[in-house]
Amino acid sequence: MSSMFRSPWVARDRTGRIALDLPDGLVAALPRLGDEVDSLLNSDSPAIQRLFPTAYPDDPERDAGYQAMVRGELIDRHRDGIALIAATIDDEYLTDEQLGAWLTTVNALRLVLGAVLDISDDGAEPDLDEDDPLLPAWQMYHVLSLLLDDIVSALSS
Amino acid sequence: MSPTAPVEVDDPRVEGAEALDEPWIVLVWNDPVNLMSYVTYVLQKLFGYSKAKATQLMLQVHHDGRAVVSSGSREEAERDVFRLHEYGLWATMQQDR
Repeated sequence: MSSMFRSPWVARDRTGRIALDLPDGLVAALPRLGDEVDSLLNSDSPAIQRLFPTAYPDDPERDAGYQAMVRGELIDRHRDGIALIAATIDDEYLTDEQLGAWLTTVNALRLVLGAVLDISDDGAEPDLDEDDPLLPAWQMYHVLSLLLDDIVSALSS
Repeated sequence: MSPTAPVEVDDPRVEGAEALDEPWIVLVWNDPVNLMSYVTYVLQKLFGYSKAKATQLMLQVHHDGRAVVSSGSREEAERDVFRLHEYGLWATMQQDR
């Protein structure tokens, strides 16, 4: 849902173009998060496991075949999406195709943050101190939720 | 069905053969991170479902923990699972029996 108290960061304008209007903090933080996740993509960090789900939960052998077949392609997709966000983050307008890549990439970044934050229940949220080391990740997670919602709205309109 | 008496044939139900006929189903599982609006959008986009149908499936995932979003041959199901994985949805496939 869009907030009543801010204008959307991504929205289709009256002429049908997709206008990008991100807060400065996000313009700085999003490519940084992208770089960080990019550097993990070829690792076996638990933070990125959620990006490569099991296809055959009842058949480890088939699943290993599936993973071998798709993992490289999924990594390339994420890499391309992260690079596209970095390349277009200062742009005034995005094409639908570009916004489609933003959509899946912003969602992937949220999934990684969700894994790092160990989010396990809908709506559950810890009460964090101001100096909690996880506070920035929580803030980023919430900001990306708003951004993703705006992207879905723009693509659906 | 032929009205005449059945011809004797070898039983085709050799090991594994029966299972080949069973369709595969693609399941999307509830996860605490994916946004409801996002899941609904992805189901519309990938499967051409109406907003109402996609919303209904999303709510089924949310409340029941999972929903069947497509079915077909193993190849078709695997392609759908891959597309769902590209979108970060937690999808699996299994034979419907």
